[in-house]
Amino acid sequence: MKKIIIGIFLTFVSFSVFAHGPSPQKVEKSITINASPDKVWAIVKDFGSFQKWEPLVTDIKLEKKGEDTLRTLTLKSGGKVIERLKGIDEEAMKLKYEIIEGAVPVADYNSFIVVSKGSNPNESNVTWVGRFYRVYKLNPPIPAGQDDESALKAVNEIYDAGLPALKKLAESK
Amino acid sequence: MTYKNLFLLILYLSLNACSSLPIAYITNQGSNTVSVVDIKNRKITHEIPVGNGPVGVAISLKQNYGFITNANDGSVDVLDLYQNKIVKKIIIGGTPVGITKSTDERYIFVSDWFNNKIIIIETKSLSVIKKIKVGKSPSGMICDDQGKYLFISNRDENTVEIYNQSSLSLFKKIKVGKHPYGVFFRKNLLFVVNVLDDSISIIDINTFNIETIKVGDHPYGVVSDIKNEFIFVTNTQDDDISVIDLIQKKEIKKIKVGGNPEGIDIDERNHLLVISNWRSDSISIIDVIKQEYLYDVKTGKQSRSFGQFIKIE
Repeated sequence: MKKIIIGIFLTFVSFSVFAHGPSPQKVEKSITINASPDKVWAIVKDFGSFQKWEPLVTDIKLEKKGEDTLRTLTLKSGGKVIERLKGIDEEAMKLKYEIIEGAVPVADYNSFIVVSKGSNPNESNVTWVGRFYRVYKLNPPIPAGQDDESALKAVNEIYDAGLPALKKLAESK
Repeated sequence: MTYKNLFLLILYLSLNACSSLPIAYITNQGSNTVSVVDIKNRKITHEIPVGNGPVGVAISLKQNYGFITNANDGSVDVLDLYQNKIVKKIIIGGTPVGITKSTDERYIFVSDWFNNKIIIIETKSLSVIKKIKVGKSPSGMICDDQGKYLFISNRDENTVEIYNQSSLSLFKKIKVGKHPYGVFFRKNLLFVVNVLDDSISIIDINTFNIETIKVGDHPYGVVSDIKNEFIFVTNTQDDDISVIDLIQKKEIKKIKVGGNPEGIDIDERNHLLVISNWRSDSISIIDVIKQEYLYDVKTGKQSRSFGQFIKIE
């Protein structure tokens, strides 16, 4: 029985991660923050403290698996998401990560967050970009919740909640 | 105008007509258009509305047509290269992604991603004449210059299939890395990017010896230079291209380009690479000899250009 459950789980994982629609989707959002780039970058690059500035995440668990750094997010909506840190570029102030699997209706989600200088030393710009596909891999009709619109809506919600909260956190410190 | 000026003008015009002017046909998924880009003059000359979610491009100079796959509406648009307009829409259904021409340019092969088929279009009649069943999620395709083979990467089964180009019978199936996508062929070597392995497979089609070389994050497209000394690979998640030395069999350089580079093609006469950047809505031009970035040209939104998309006049 246990094996069957694991089997079903693995099937689900490989389905949601590897197969996807034909056209990638993009969400790109930016915000200006009245804090120095160093200060904002220190918050952004702390991969295990994402819940401090993402209101849609209620809990986070950071773990090392071999060479991989993974975080498991518990969403406000109840589901879980496993994400992998792909890289931290200190010079460019850029963090790259991907979704391994979970409750966000996307496939092959890759993202980066980059902090850049603003118009004065106490100002920063943060840009958050995601490239991903819908979950459903076959031809229409596409089941509800697995289409491009559902994928875009979910990612937009995460970014729209996170960036103002990041601004608030960085400016209050 | 004096006679001297007139003479100079005619001289200038005729010189211009003789020199090779590379034109790139860039599919823009986000604006459902093809940008026709004059590479040397760095500008869009035409912006042509096409179907929904255009991805792949094949150019047939013999027929003076460009063929565009529209992944989101199951069609192939036929672009007249003289008039710069769509002259026919071929409905094939399914999810057309990859596209390439046969060596003699009599046929166009289209990969239908989710129905695991190759659709064959006759370039003379512009109609579908045949469909064949292939591996899972056929993606990138290319033919050799002898007219012997059609190569297909099958994304969801991690294989490359080699078909006999005239009989369309399967000649060989080869295991490659995870999620093979873009392919390129020159001399005796077939190059295949493995998107989820961050690598490329190089297959010698005489010996079927395979070598794997590491590249950047989520590679999509690949081309080699005319001597097969170097290959150039777009790394979609690194915003750069890897330059691989085929003698040393390793990456020797990375060249920064625009955001999420996908398609790549080579202009062999002018020694230029053209790369379409999905995130930054642009193409990047690279000098093949110096292996250096030259400039960007703005295009439509979410540029992809999967396949061989440069025409040289």
